[in-house]
Amino acid sequence: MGDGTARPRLTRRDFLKGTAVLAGSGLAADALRWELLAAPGAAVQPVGNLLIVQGVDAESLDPHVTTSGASKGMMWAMYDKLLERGPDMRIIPWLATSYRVVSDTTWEFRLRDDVYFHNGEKFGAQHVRDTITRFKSPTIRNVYAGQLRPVRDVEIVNPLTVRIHTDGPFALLAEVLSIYCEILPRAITGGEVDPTRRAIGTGPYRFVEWNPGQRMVMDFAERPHFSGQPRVRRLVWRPVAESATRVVELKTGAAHLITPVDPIQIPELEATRNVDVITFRQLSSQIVVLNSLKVRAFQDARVRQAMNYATDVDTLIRTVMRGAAYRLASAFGPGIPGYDESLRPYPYDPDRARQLISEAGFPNGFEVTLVTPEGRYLNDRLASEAIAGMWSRVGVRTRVQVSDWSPFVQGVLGKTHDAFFFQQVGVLLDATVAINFDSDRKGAAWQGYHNPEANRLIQDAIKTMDANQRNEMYKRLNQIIYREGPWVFLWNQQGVYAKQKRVQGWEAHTDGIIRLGGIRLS
Amino acid sequence: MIGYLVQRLAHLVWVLLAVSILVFLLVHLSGDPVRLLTPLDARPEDIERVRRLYGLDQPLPVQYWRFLKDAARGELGESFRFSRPALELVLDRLPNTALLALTTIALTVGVGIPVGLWVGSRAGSLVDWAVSLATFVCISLPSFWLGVLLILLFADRLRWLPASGFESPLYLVLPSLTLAVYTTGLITRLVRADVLEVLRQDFIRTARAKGLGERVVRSRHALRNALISTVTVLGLQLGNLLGGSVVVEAVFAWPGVGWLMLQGIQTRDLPVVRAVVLIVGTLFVLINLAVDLLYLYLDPRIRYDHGR
Amino acid sequence: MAVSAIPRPRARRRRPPQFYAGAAILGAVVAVAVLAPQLAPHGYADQDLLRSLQPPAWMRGGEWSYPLGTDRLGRDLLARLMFGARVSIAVAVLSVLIGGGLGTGLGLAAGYFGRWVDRLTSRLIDIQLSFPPVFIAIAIMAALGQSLPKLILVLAFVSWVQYARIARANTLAVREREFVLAARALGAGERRILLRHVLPSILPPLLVVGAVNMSSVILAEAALSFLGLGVQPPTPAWGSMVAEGRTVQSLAWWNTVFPGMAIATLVVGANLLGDGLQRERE
Repeated sequence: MGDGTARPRLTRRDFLKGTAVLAGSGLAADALRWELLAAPGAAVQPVGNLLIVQGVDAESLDPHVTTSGASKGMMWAMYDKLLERGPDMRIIPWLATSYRVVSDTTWEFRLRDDVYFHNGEKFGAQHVRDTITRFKSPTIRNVYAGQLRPVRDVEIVNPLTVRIHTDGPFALLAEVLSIYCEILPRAITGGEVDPTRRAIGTGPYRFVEWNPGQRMVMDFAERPHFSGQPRVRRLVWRPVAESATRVVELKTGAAHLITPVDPIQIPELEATRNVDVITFRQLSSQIVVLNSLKVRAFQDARVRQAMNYATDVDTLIRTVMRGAAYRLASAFGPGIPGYDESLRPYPYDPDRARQLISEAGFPNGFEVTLVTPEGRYLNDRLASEAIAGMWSRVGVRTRVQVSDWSPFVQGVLGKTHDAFFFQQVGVLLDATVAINFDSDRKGAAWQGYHNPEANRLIQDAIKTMDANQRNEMYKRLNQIIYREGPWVFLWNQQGVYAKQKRVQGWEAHTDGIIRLGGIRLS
Repeated sequence: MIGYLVQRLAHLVWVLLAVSILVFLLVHLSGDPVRLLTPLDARPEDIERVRRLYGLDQPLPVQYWRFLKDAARGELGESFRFSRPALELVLDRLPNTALLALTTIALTVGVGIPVGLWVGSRAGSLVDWAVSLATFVCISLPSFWLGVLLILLFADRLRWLPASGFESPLYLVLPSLTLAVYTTGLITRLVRADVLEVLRQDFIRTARAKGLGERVVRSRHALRNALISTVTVLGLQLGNLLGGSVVVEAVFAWPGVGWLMLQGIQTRDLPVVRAVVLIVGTLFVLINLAVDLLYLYLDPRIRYDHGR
Repeated sequence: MAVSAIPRPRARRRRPPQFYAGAAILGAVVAVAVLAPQLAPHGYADQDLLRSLQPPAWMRGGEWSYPLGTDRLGRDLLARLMFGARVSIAVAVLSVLIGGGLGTGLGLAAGYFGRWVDRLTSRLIDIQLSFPPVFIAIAIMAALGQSLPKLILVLAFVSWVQYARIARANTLAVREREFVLAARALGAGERRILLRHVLPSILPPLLVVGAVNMSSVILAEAALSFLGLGVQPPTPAWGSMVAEGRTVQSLAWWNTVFPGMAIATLVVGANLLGDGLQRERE
């Protein structure tokens, strides 16, 4: 951007001040805890090339088609959503400056003024309407289209206000819009530009080129972004599948920010000059799902509890995970609706486990195959092998079967694995996740667990517009799950980033998706 | 001669057809591509809709027929994984693979032939013995292990060279070195054996008897004859490198067709796997044909007209 | 190469030193594989998470009960290497036998009967020769999923061609030779002619192919295991041990280096054996 530009340069501090207090479910501007830009108000020219190395590449350039966290990070550098999430997952204003629930079936969103797409279009209500229409369109390969299925109509009140009408009460609209539905320009919704070839958003960086599987390049957008002006001239994203290689890339100085990092490499990185390691507690729960449809013993809650007693999670965390995990007491950790800090993890007690299994009518134990993917989750295979060893010690003779991802998923859906090592993501503790405990709706990872009270809680919560009340319902659900143990509760993984010391102004988010914020090279 | 060529090329079409069916079946038998593309928390109705959009709801014969119709028009479908035409992805990476293969061949020729000629004329000497041992080790090392060790040494410890990807010519060094160790070992042994063989033959003795200098004998006669089998093996190695350096490409995250295929297989990206197999297969056959023709040119005693 | 100068009666049967060196290496690895349960200091799946990544005995922090150190799960590396030899040997021997048997049979039939048998076989050979073998093996293993029997079959499947070509060409050459014609004139059945007369005369070159093929099968198995397309864990295979070692390469080099050396040693053995057989024929 030229020096003569008259437009005032926004900084994140201005953005905070300008943020309207949001109505609705406990939103507050202080959710924005990003490091403030140095020297606010000073005209800073973006400088330097920043290389971010992740494990995988984007699946597409079309933001409504991408699904992985790695690709969402890339998309959100170029596209904005109506709402965003802060580092701790609290919802914050983004393209919408505020919203309120008008009635059980109507939400009103006020839109930010003075926002432009990279092709010059001025953002407004029409874009919201067109984008939501496209998001729901059956001709787009959008596997999350169902998330907005309850949306019946988008009403344009004025160029900067929309009302979204839903079929029946839909309590999670704001949550959904803070994760899905990147806002597109008319050039894309109108079919003029192919979004798989070119990205045009309102984000702080604009698209330059994408070589699938190799690299994506972005330059800072000339117009300053409402969340603060980009401080890096060019961003390059590269996928590198091997964790060890990512570390080498950082150590040799080629990469500036890498993720994920295998915890075993943390000490090595910490000993490296000019490198910082950033850790955070991730949201997703690492668990072993017990299939009571396949293994008769698992129908008995005592056996399921015994599996929890038989698993020495603390030792697993200390050794296999090298301390890079946070013990889970129940299905979900902090940051997820319904988290209950009063629950205590099952202690490691093999004698108690043996006794419970015996009481349940299996004095000679039984046989189980523990299925695990390899390389999908951090240390998945190693952890499964260790767990199999622990279970075998209490008489549950366990064989580990490593499975390719595709047959693994088929086994999960077909409910044919005895037990499987699994990760459950739970930002939206709604139909997509909780139905895994619902024997009426039988979610993807549901494996035979049955409790009528759990079913009722899950089905009622999504219609409960009051956030506190909804939270209490999820809490109750969590307590039931804790007691009856359909899963063996393991840990919240530690998310690990490593960066060069000269990379500053950046903060990790607990969903593991990169938001660039005020990232810069010093 | 022309007849032979036409026959070989017609044959190629049959080969590709047969292989495309095989690939089709293998990839479909091995798992549901849509399930791999969609996250586990997607709703079943969304998944079925996406399956329809990819045309994967049709029976297999119908899908295969569609593929043939498209392929006849030069379209190989769109990658499931990257929403781009599969052919574009393959052609995009082919130059990288070719570059790696040719660099490897250049290293091989540059080192293997001179060393082979040198030790070949000193058969039985200490140098010959040492080189023979070294080449033996060269052809026995697993390439992926060598690659990992080179990364460990030159990238991780010494930090002299980049470990993965392809951003500048420097990135070419480690992968081509890894691949060249095997081919150089092979070629050195071959050239040495050829030289020994040729030196034993009559016409060399005749040439010597005619009073030609040792140098002339070696370069003119021995070299030319040794070249024939060397060219054949080099050609075959080039074909192997174009398609078969999957493992080394994966170790170095080299953006070539081998790595693309491996990723395609892992994600059941059928159009990409199909496109890679078809293109690599075609190249492989064409290179073999070229080798045959070159062979013919170098050794006029051979004729192909009578079939094989 | 040593040439024996004294013409003794048994000198003609004397084999080149490469042969013996190769046979010794292979024999040693086979012995380790067979005796692994007796020789190994620990079970290959015995974990001791508190000993994770312990260095080899001669380094600081190492101890002699874990001579080559431990892997990430605290399993004894030497024990895993010894048991890993079983996979390599099983794959090498069985897939060479199966692939060799299949290829020889088809090549023999094609060369001897000609006509459609020959056309079909030749076409199959051509199709398979149109692709780099590792390429095919990767595709099939990824499709079928990992297991030892599948691994053996797949590698047999990609190597039969080499035998079939040689068997076919040599059968063609032998078919019209006197001893075959004589046997036929004497009224011997086709089967008898094939098995008793043709097969023995084409076998020696096939043995050389087998030995050479063995080294490439071992390398291919290692590469597939490295890519995670080999056998099911916790069964150790040298290739997958290198892959596991890679994740800790800068912390525990012994996890990467030793399995690779084991592969290289075995391949050197197979190559020496092949080289010896080849020289003997010359």
